[in-house]
Amino acid sequence: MRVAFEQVSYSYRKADPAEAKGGRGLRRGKAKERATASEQALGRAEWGADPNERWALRDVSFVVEPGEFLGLAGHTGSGKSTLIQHMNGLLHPTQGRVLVDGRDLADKSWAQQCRGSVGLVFQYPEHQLFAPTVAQDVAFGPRNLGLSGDELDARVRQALERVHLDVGEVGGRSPFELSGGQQRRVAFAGVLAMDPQVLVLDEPVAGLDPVAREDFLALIAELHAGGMSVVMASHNMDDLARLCDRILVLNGGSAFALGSPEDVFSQGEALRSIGLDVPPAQRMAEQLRAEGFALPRALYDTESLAEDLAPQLGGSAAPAFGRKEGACA
Amino acid sequence: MDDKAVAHPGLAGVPASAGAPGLAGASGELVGAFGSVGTSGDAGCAPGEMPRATDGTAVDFDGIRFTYDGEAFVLDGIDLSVPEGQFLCILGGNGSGKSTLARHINALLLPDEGQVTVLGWSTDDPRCTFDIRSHAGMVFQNPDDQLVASVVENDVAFGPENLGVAPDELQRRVIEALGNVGLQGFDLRETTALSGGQKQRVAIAGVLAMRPRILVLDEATAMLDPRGRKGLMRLARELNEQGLTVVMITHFMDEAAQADRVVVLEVGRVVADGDPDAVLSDPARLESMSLDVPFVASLAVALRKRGVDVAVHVQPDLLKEELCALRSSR
Repeated sequence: MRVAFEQVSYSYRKADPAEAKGGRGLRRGKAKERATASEQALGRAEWGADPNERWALRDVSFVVEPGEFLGLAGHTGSGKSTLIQHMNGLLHPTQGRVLVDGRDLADKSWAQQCRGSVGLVFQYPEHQLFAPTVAQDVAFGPRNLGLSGDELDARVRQALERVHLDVGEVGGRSPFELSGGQQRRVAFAGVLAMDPQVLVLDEPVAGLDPVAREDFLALIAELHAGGMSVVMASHNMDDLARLCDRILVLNGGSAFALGSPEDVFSQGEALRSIGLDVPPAQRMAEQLRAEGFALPRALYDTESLAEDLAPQLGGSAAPAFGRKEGACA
Repeated sequence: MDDKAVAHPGLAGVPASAGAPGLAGASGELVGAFGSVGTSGDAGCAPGEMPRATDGTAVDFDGIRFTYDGEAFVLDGIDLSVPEGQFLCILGGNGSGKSTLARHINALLLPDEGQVTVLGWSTDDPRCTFDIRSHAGMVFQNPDDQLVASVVENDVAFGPENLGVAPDELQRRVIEALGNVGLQGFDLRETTALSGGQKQRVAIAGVLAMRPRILVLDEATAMLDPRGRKGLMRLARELNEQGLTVVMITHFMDEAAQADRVVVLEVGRVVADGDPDAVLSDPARLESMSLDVPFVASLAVALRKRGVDVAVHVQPDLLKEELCALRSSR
């Protein structure tokens, strides 16, 4: 499944009483009118022209190819969450369009069909758990897709398996008895039970402890390896650098950068100018490079940094055998 | 502003002891303010009484054990003494007892065994609860849970007003507290329209307006973005430099690296206690305690494995200097 954003702009418009009365249809009609009018009269550059418009996305274009892992970076208010809600038609562009497999999500019946195939996992998804048992909570989505009986049970069991939970063990328990990490897995299973082809995650590991975080990221990598496309918004640059094929950086609603982790994180200065940073190993590499060390790679992690530094400091590029990690005087 | 106190009669009247954990978790308030109404009439420790002479200890945990369900001890024999003016970071995985321990500092929870002494007052003496809570303020994880009023100045005034601070003084304190957290001019803003980091600052201002001597931050940076986290950490350090004792619970190693002292909890026990360099620079041990290894320490270890003789510590600048010195000595 291929998701394409074509010059998408989105405005949270301040409520206009007359429009509100007219209902959603009229509002959309108006939005289209406004879009055309503003394009013609003002041109795309004049984002501040109408004080009632609050543009959360500005002319954003990119494609999520099938099987790709796309990272989304940007500080609070940069438009990440707004963009994510466009991925399955929860929000519709004020200008531009979102295509899923070539068809516009503005087409209602297509958007309906895509709801199940693009799975959205919001921030702190465990806050949305509501059913008396884990199994019922996970079954909610597929049941609404029309599944029942054995088919539904199988779907629930598989979804829980994919997040490494056993339906026999936790299926009958209240989700609220589980630990925070497990609750998040259950919420995640609820989305997987819809059998999505694209998984969209908004800060999936925020608030988890280091062990739970690594487990969860490994789980996401596993689903991706199984062929699912993943779009992940994160504040953690290290996670993005490790996992993503490409990273889209948003700033003030516009695409600030789009490229491989190497491309994006070799622009440390530019990222800092918009309140972001690079992974810690990359930052250290930048600083040491400024001190005259020879560090030619575009993107460093801890191991590769040690590999390139050691020979310049009297050590060897490869670690010595037989020495246990941390076992030093 | 009186209506704020009235609006939470049940909360304000909650006794100092049991029943509180669920409450605190759900409402995540500036707990320092709670209980003040309910206990202010008690004899013994009059409100605003000068703190007892202490030996410079802010918080002392003496062999405390605590269980929620009567079976599993969430805290299992904690002996810990926090001197006044210290910046202490408490680390540990989920379920290690960090938050439970923090809630013992202002008598939100009482130990089943052992004794907690805060600025010389014992938390198990209900007559001292009021004084303890007005001197030890707490800020919780979720900024959205913590604010009680819709306008910033009302929220900041909530705590001190319950301490019986006079209106003139109250106004001064609100302005001063907002200044301390870098939110000058925000007094008439709506709390709902603030960013997460700003909400946490308002929550801290509400605590500061009570003129506490101890500030407890229970994963207060967990829901903030990197910019918000950095800002809050800088603020905590500034307040600490002005003499406030800070007890900070966190998962973030870069924050712990900036503390005076780091304590690691594991299933209710203290398994490490020392300065950040000592505690955070042994990767194997950190991993065994379910903690992240700070980047600087892991780089130093990776270099040592390759035969480069550097010390393992946790401050990026120190490592950088050491590497430069090492190179020029060759």
